[in-house]
Amino acid sequence: MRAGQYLAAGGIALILAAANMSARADTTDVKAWDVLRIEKTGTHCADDTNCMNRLHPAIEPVAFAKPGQHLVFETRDALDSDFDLNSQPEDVTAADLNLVHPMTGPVHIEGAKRGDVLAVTLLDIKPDQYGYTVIVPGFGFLRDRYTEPFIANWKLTRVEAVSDEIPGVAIPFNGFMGSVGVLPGEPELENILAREAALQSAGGVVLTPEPTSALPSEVCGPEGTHKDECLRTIPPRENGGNMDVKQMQIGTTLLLPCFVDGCGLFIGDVHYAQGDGEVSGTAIEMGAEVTVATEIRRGEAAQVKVPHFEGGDELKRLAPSEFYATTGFPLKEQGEVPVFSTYLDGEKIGPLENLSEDLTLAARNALVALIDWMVEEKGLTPQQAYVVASVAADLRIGQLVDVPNYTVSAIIPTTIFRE
Amino acid sequence: MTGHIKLAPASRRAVLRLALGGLIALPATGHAPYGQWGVYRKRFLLILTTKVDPPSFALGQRLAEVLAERLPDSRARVSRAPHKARVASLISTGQLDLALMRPDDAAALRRGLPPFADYGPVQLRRLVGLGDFLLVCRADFPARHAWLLARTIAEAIRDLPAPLTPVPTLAQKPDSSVPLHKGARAYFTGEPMPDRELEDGAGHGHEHEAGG
Repeated sequence: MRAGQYLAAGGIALILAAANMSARADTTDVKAWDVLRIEKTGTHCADDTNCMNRLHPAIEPVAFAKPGQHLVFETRDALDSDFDLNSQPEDVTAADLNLVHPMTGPVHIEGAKRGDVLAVTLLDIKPDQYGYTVIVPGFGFLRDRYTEPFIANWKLTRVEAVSDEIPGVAIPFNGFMGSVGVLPGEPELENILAREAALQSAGGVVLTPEPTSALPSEVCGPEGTHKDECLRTIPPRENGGNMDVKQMQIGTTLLLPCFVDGCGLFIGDVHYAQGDGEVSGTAIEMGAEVTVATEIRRGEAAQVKVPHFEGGDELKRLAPSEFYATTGFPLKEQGEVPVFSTYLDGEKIGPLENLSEDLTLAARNALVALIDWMVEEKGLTPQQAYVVASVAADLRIGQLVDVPNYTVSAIIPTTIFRE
Repeated sequence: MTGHIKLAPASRRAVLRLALGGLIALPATGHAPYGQWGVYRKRFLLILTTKVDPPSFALGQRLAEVLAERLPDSRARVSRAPHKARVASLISTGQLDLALMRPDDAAALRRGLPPFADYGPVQLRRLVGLGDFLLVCRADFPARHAWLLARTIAEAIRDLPAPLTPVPTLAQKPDSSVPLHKGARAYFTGEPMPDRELEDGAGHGHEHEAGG
């Protein structure tokens, strides 16, 4: 090759290189959406002005958004924890339950009024690299059987989660917002406080307002303006919240009745994966970045009085390609009073071996049978099997008519077991 | 150390069971979602330590082993908080009763001083000193349980000196910044195990009188 040819070749290479650089910049820098990021700052919710762990209409918005904007919520794990891949059961017993659940928000949606519906479409969930599932003594569907703390530390990708504590199991990513909702209005707050107090008086399972560690502290804390009225985030209510419905997958749209002007949208407690039932009390809990878009549907709260959700084919990806299932009926040992029935008339329930139309007992029996199957057939310990059921097994209602025995199935996708 | 009650092993065991009855025989009720969690935290004697202070965790593990051997009905276990603030939060809100703390930290929590200004003042009491740590509890921790713990740990220190190293003094030179719990004081001054709960100020964990 002559000198002139070398120069010509070099010139062409320079032009191509410049074109490549330009091409990368051309696409990466193109922005299609108006994005508002609600950032996470500080180590914990208490350090973060964009975070709250109680609900009250007096809580001020942390951001103002327009309908259609893409809102990126940076969220924290359900326990506002310090867990990591080395966490042990000893760390679980030191959990501070007054910190549950840190929520990012509330965000004021401009133009939304009480009586509207806020449509929230889930566009994306970017998981953290770490998640956990715990058995908290005293909490969970089988709390009478599983009385020791346990933690599975999960390593997460957008494909699957694996844990050294449960070797041989891989859980596919099916993330969703465990908690998403809007602020209650004053009438709703008054009604909720009254009905939950009445239920507590009757012996029901209720968490009443607790100012300790409540956020935002200026409203809900020990010196807060409404310290005795701030709702805990454990129960879902008409305003949404801790619904833990895994079918609210990416691509689906959640419809929330709006109770205060601006609605006060909040998101948190994101689950990497969860079985229908979340039986151990936790899913694969994680921090995440959640992207949603909102739309205001004028006056539709008259029809949508509680959260609804809609979608296309998003549920297909939740269907197992192969599975094993057990069934349960409302049967029990004579003398046993199921733990969830202890607040009822135990004198009547105790002697019976068959309860009437009792879906909870049917679900319990289906779950216990499935755990036994996983222990016997898959070699898991009972604690491991309980956690696997919590993150991957679906409790499904078979029928609600064949009195007195309703049927519940517990279905586990067998593809999660890696031999 | 004075005033140890001398019991035959069998009768001692019976006394311990009787005394710890309130600790281990709580009914498995509790209607709040966290009610059972509260029962767990009372059914087991949880010794709170911190992850940021590894020696506290190691000492807590050893202490739990000793108590499991000598005071099995205590069902002692170690619990590990991520940081000191969590210890303050759990103790001040009554979610847990017992912690191994550095003396300076315990004094600061008791008086509500930084880094614990958000949690105190807290009615904090000392059971024993263990090397660089104090085993502290809420003032409303049952006096009988405090008496039993003080005796068991004191005896364990004599029998198993390492790694449980006593502070040169237990009751003899009380650390005035964290007063001795009445139950522990009863033991160290030779009084018998309380047969009823000794009142120690308010029935909750928040200090009303600085220096009390």
